Amino acid sequence: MAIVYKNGRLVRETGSSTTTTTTMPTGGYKTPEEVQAIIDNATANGAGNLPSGKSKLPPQPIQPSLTPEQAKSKAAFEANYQKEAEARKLAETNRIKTQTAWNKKDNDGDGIPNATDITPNGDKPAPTSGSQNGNTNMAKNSTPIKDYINNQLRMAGLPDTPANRSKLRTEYMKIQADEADRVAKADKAAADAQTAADKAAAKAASDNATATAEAAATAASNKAAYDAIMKSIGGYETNADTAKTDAMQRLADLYNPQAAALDTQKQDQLNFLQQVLSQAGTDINSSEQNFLSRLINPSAYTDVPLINMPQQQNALMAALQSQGADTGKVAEQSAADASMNDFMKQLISRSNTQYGNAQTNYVDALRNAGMGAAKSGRDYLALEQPRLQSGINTKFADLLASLNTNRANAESDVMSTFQKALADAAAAKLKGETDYPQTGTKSSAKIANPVGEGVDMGNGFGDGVNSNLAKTPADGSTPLTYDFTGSDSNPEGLTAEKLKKLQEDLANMFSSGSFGSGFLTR
Amino acid sequence: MSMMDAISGNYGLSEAGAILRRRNRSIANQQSATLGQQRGSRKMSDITKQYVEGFQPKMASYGRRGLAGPNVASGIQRKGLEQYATNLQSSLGAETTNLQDQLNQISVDEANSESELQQYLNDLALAKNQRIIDTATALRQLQGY
Repeated sequence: MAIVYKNGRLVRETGSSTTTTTTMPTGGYKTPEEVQAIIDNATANGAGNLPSGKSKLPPQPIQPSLTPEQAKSKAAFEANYQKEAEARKLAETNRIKTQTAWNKKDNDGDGIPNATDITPNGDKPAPTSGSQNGNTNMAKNSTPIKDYINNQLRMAGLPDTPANRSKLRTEYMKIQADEADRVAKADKAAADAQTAADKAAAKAASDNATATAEAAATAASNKAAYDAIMKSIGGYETNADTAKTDAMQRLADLYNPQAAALDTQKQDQLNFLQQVLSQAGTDINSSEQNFLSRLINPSAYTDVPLINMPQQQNALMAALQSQGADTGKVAEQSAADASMNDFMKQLISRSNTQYGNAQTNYVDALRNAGMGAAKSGRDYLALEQPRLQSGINTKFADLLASLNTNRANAESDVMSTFQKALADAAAAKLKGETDYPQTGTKSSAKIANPVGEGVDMGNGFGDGVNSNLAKTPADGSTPLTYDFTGSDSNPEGLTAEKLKKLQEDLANMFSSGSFGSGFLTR
Repeated sequence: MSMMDAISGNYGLSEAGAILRRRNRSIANQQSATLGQQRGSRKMSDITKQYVEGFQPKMASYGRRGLAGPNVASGIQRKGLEQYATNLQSSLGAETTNLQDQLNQISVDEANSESELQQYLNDLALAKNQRIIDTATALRQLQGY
């Protein structure tokens, strides 16, 4: 069978072929899978029978459906492939059976199957002549096992049969195995003893070193924890001082403009008072002048036209005289009427004079009333001015006092919180120095005194006492703050237990609340 | 507009109203005086006319009674004529007095009206002055102090 290139394809073909053939690769038989892989590979890249130098065929047109001849060839190929696979499987089964039989077989006859016989040439088949089983060691006349077998046969008087030899060989192998086992055990015991001795020595040395290392580690750990606490406290104090300063500045920003505005408003009110009073005085004066100028002097009853009607001439006087009658009564009647008219005129005239006088008096009273009211108004303004000035000053003084009181309370709250923070920091320092004692280190912590008793007031009050307490850690290093959550979670390389205790200490140390928040909530 | 202007404006309106009423009243008085004079003159003319026209019948009645006539001098007739003439004079005098009183009363009414106007205007001036003073001294803008 061979792989041949026929009609553009590689096919498997039995028997001789006159076509161009491709010989099987060297190296013996291939498995069916390998053969098929070779075919597929050659068919895929088209390099199977290409001339050298051409690694790839040009693109092939789509193959038409198989011709009857090609289909027949394909069926023959598949049938051959199946037969070859069955033949290979049968050959493999026979090979395994042969190998199994050989493994079970004891070629050198020493009772040990070939599969497990590790003696030199122990698995070689017996030679056609010479030693018993063909092993090279069997060619020697004297070997320990031969000597043992021969001695046992001789001493026990046993017939020299293969069975006896095999039995004695097995016995010998067991003795040898037991001896080897005993020796191995003895060696192991010795080795164990040596190991134990070494371990004991090492443990003693290790214990000593461990004690020293632990002491050093404890000291280093304490130092690390102490430093961490001091740095954290320093950061806490710095934050407290910064928060206090910020709060004070915010209070100043809040209250200073208000105080300045109050003063401005007071001046504005005083100026307004002056303007109002001045305008009021001007209005009163103007009103008074206007009133006096417009006041009408009474003239209604001056030169009132009154008539004194003359008596009418009696048309019958001439007739009376002609008849000789007396005209005296007529004259008397006329005189009486004239007198009555004159009286009435005088009465009315006098009445008018009286009316005029009354009106004059009334106008005088009006004038006096108007002038009196104006004077009263001016007097009132003169009295009101100092009272209003005092009222304005008092009111704005009260407002300023209230403002200052509120500011003082707010600043007192800030300082109380700040002092509490400093006291917490000092207490935390003492606790840290107690929990993690440092040889050769004096206690630097000092409990802050209450507000107003000479403690640090920061830069807001200038008391000048221990003003650096909240700014620099005890060891003089840069203040730090540990959050135990980021990259700074274990800066000193503490053990997990130490780190946990340190975290608990720091958490308890500042458990009173977040410093600074008290300032911001006011 | 200042406070005084505002207040003066209100009072000025009242003044204008009073002056207008005063002028109307004066016109009415003038008309009354004119009409009264006319009525008085006419009435006196009527009285005179009545008595003059009644004189002849009076004389005739005395004549029918034989109390008058040529060469007749009767005391009754003379007394009667004197009384008749005196009555005429009395009627004229009464009417004259009525007319005088009417005219003078109109004049007095005119004076009273003028006086009332002046008093009203003065009262207004005082009230305005007082109100301005009250407003000026109220100091409402500074009541908080």
